Amino acid sequence: MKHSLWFLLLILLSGCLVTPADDTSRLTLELSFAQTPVITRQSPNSWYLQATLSGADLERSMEATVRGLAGTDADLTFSTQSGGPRRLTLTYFFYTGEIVETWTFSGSDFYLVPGDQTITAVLQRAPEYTLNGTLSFLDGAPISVWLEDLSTELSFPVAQVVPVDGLQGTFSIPHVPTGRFFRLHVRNVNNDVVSFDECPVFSSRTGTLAFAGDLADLSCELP
Amino acid sequence: MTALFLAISLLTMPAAPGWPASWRVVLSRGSLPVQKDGRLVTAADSFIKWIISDRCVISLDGDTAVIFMSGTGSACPRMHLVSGTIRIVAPVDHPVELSWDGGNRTIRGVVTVTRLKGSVSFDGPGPVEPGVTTALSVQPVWQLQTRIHQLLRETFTHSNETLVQTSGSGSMCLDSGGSAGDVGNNQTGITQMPPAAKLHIHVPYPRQVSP
Repeated sequence: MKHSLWFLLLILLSGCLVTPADDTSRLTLELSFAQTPVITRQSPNSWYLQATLSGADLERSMEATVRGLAGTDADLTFSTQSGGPRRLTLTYFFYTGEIVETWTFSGSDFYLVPGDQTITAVLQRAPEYTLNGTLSFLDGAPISVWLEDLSTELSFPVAQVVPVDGLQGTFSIPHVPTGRFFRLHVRNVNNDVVSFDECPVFSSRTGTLAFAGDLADLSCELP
Repeated sequence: MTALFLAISLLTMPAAPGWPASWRVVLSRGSLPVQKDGRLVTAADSFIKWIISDRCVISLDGDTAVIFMSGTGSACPRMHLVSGTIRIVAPVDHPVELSWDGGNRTIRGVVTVTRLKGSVSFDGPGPVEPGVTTALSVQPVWQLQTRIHQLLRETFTHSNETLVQTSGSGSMCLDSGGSAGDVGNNQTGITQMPPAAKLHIHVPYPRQVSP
């Protein structure tokens, strides 16, 4: 009996067997916009948030995405381990009704320490450029073009192709965020969708980027 | 039985405030260290090697007492050397802030520090723990990274180790089996898992009246 009591006492006092105390780190990041986007028309799927978390003490970086309806807040939670410093990058795509505005935040000094803490941060509008393209075709001018963000598979608004003559047309896609890779999709005259997979669209600079593609063989050129 | 009870009681004492949450791996040999009054104390016939955040290695010789604290702006912890001998391997961008009663120093590179009877001496590069050659110790820190990652891999892949979850407040459950695993320098591996964390991100919808 005496031995049993000792054994029970050891189990209760051993940190190996009792439920760990609640020393979870809870960090809440409250974000706001540097300027409020101008909403021209409410759209059902109006925002998309992509977040990545990395750190030297983590085995691998983590990524999470969430999308939502107009009027709803974006809430996203990473379950990880305490420690730091951690790098967090956020990309918030917001569809105003006409264009997709891209807002970003990046921080590399997050420490997840036991306890509760709340940090406020500001999303900044990502630098943008305009993609000006020329398409060559044989069977008639394509109907439209649009960009797909390769990382999130998010499609940006379509742009119309303006025929120049019977063999060429041009298009212009404004508000393309810098620093991201896109795939250019084309809806051709037969209503089929084809893609220029060999020429991912990317620019790290603002201004304009020229694209030239041939729908006959999907060959393409970027500077 | 009383001794065992006393040992476990010491091991499960709450940690000092600021106990780092990101300690990763402990490799030890000999008698197990005990945590006492916020200090970590090694027995006379032991040593302990701490690999922290994949970046710094801190080795404690036998009969050594230290107090670990959270590093400020560094992945490596701050340390207060109470007595004994420690070796610190710290990269330039993640130094160890070392203090002792009466002084302090920022440690970068490979440095051995001894405090005996209140007197502190720095020996520069040099091994503390047995089985580690001088040649390894004098390597630049960045070269040691390969060795550190190798130790980490070995620690997590050998099945004859006891991987244990920490209890609350950072106290440790130590592997008291005594069986030496084939890890690193034939040490027994002990792992301290950092506490869980949740990072919640909130982006309010940009509410605004349409123009």
